[in-house]
Amino acid sequence: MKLGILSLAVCAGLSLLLCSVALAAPAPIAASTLLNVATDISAAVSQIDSKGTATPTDDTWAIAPGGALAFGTLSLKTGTDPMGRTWSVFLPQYYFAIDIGFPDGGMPSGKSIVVAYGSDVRPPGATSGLGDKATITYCRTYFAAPGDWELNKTTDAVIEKKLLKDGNTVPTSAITGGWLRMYVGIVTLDPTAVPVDPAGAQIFSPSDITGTYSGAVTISLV
Amino acid sequence: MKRKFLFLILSAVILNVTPLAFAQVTTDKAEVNLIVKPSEKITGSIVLKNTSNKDILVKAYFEDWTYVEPFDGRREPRPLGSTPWSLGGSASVTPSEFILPALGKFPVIYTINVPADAEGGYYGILFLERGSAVPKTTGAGREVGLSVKVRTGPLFFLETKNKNKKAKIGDISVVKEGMQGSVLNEGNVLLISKISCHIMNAKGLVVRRVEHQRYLPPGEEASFTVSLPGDLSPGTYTLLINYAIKESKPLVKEVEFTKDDSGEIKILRQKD
Repeated sequence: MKLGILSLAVCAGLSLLLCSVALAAPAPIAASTLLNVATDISAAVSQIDSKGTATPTDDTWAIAPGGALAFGTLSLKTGTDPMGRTWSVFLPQYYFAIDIGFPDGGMPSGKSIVVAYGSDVRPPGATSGLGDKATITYCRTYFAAPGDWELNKTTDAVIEKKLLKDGNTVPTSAITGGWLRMYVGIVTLDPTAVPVDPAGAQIFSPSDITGTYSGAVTISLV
Repeated sequence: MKRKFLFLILSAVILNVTPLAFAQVTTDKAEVNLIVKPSEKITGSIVLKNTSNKDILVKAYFEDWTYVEPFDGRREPRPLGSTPWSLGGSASVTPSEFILPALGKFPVIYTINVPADAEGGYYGILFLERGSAVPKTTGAGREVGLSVKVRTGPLFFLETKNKNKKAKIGDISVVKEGMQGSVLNEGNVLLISKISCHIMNAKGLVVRRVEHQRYLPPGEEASFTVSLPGDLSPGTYTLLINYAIKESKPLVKEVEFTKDDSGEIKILRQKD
């Protein structure tokens, strides 16, 4: 409907412009539009298959079923660091991106997107849950050049990376000209990761109790 | 796939198309602003609209919210009853959980019983929450999943007629960046006001103009900084601070200061 109205407005504007040209009577043409301020946010969740590598270029994206972040059963990865020490960590195949949009209008100014973690569930005896073992990397995502939309080339400007349990408050002024993207992943403690995991981050190690670790991410627009 | 996904995201953002994972719920009001009287009973409605082709389970409930430091407009939700200006148990909404039909509308009714001793401001948010599916688990190994809830809703600003709008501009001090001051909300309502700062030279010409918008809950204090121009010549200057408070007299502070040849800044006097 809006597109239809917009098209009519554009046609009307063009008609006026053509008329003014044809009559050679230069007159100022006022043009204005009104973008409603959004009252809602939407969260589009993508499941990203890392292919088991730390290289993002081979990642594949898919819509996360049900909008949930199902990391699945973690697999044990082992290796040796440059110092010759062995490491072992349980990791998932996937990580997730949550893109926050304003579907019913323009991005409201003076608002904040507040992310909080709760409903932490962990196996009996486990001393830490997903709040310490998962992170969110907050980004202002945008198209850096006009043609990037066609090329599907997004640019992520990292705002910060935080532990899931710490939540965050992102004012809409921090994402002007783009949108908020949050990458949610399990802690790797990979020293080469950009950005590195925050202080206090904990991996899923072989010493962690087996069972289900779950929780809920609440995204509020206030 | 990534291309398709992003195209859809953009469509949702730009072309007003229903987004991917979460159906959209729009409301007919973004804010509810009311002047209330003690013991008054207020009822009203918020109409929700589902623009997707799926039924949506919605939970409606009140919570508190507050502006947070540095009081530049950042807001955070708080549990109901946790702020001094909470709507607390006086606000309720019905129904609290319902199915919003596909492409349909549904009103929720809010009721607020203003306390008999109400004075000042009362603030809250009527959250309309919907969530993702909960990840299925099999109990095998170390299994991990997160669900996502999205919530927003109209902000409520209730203020009594006998509110007290009072503020104070604190003393100004010299800091590395220039001058620093603070404003303190001594009243009992939110203050959303602009602090205008002008630095004038001895001839009365403005050499710097700085503005700060501050969002101050009752009892809170916010600082502000006025940076000095890097090429400010040695001499005597006046910093004029104006804190404009709606429905009240603006507060003014004058600060006379000097910059000597070594670049040192000294405050000579301050007056309200």
